[in-house]
Amino acid sequence: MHSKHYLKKMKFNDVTQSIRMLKGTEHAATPDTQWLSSNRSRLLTHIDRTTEEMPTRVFTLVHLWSALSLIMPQRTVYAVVRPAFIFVLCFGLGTAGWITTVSASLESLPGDALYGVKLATEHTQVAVVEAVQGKRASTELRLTFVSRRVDEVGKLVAAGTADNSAKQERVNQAVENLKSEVRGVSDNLNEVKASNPMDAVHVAQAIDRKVDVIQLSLISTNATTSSTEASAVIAQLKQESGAAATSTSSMNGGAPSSTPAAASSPNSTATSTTAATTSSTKIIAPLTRGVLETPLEQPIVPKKELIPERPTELGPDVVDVSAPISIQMRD
Amino acid sequence: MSSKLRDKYLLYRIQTKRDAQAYGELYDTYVAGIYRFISFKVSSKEEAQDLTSETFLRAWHYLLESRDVASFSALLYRIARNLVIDHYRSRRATVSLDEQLEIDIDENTSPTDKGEQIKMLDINLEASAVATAMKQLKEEYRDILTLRYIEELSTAEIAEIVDKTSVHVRVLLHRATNALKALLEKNEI
Repeated sequence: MHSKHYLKKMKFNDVTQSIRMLKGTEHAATPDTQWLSSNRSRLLTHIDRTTEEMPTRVFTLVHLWSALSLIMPQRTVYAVVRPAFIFVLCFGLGTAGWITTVSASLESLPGDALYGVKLATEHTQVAVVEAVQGKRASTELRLTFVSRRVDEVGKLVAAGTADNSAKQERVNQAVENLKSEVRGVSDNLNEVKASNPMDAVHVAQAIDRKVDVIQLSLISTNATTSSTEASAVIAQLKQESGAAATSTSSMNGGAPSSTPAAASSPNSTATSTTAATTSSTKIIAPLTRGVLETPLEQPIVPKKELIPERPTELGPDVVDVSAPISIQMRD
Repeated sequence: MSSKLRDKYLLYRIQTKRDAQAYGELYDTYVAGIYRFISFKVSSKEEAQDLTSETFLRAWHYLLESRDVASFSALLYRIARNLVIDHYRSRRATVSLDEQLEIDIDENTSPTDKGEQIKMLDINLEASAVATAMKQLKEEYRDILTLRYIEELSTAEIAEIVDKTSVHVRVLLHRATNALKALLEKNEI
């Protein structure tokens, strides 16, 4: 009877308040304090008995993610940080692998598996140097690559192999690469001439310095007739550089830079069949000693007519201060 | 140190070093709430104590096996809820409503004490009515009302416990409140 009476008195406006009221009653009771402490010690004892000891601490990535989860949301750690870490790791491994491949490709020759990598690396180098340091630096770099192409031709010719046709094919490919590289240098020179004539002089001088060595290197490889065209292209490049240097210098009124024609005719020596057992670098040194010691530029000597000679007789307007002065007194 | 950061640090110690003392600290923080949540759903104090102990034991093993624990409190309530469901599946416990409503008033007490006792009787009767009505609600509504208004958890935490979105929880909360209100009004008649 009491229950109905009090239920009627009850207000239902705030149902939520009624629910909150249950807290602390027997329906949603607080635990007994004694039971709490005894249960706690029972729980921890059970954990100590049943849990295996942690093995010797080995730091793993799981610990890293767990530690990071302390300072940032766990979802961020597993959805952003961990994938980014994996990406950086893969990128680093890929880069290291590429560097290793490039290093291994440095000694490769036309026809080898890694030769493409070597060429790709050189093209990349040229592009980067040109972007950072300009055409002049990239031309010098290309000249270095021309030397490499010549070395490759020499190595292929010197390589002993039973299959002559395959060897000849590789040599031809190497010569084609050489020609292509020389044409690239020539194109560079023309571009520099068009854009910056002053730089063209320096580029031409750099070409002059190296092209003779390259010519001699090619000669020393004892390549077959297919290298004749290569020698011709190199000779043409030499002429272009000489012309570029001359025309630019004459425009500026300076002394032309002369290049002694130390290289022998490419046509006669390219077809030489004498055996060469030493490498091209050993042959170049004695041959080019005389060439390299010859200054490429003659020192600028002022012409005599430009320096006026001291007159033997002084003119009427000139006073000879070296002679004693005679003073005549007037009467 | 905020409670969430403290919980994360204790979880880190538990998962990397299997630190039992760190788990004891978490026990101290959450045991009252879990006991209250379970006691509202079961009929006796002993059952509530047993299920509370079992909840913490299972949570310990879960922490050792799994790395991904976003909220330890949500984990505890989830385990407690599942244990109560399993408990009612294995046993068919009945609740004697008449026993809960029996309240004796001592005739020898002073008028002031009697006033207090009547006041407490009033509160107890009202609580009993609400508790009775809540037990008539479906399990999902009852759990959400309990977690929200008795345990005072946020909708995000409740969403994690019941494995639903926060929006869905808010909708369920509104429906549960209306359902309880309807039941209370019906019981009043």
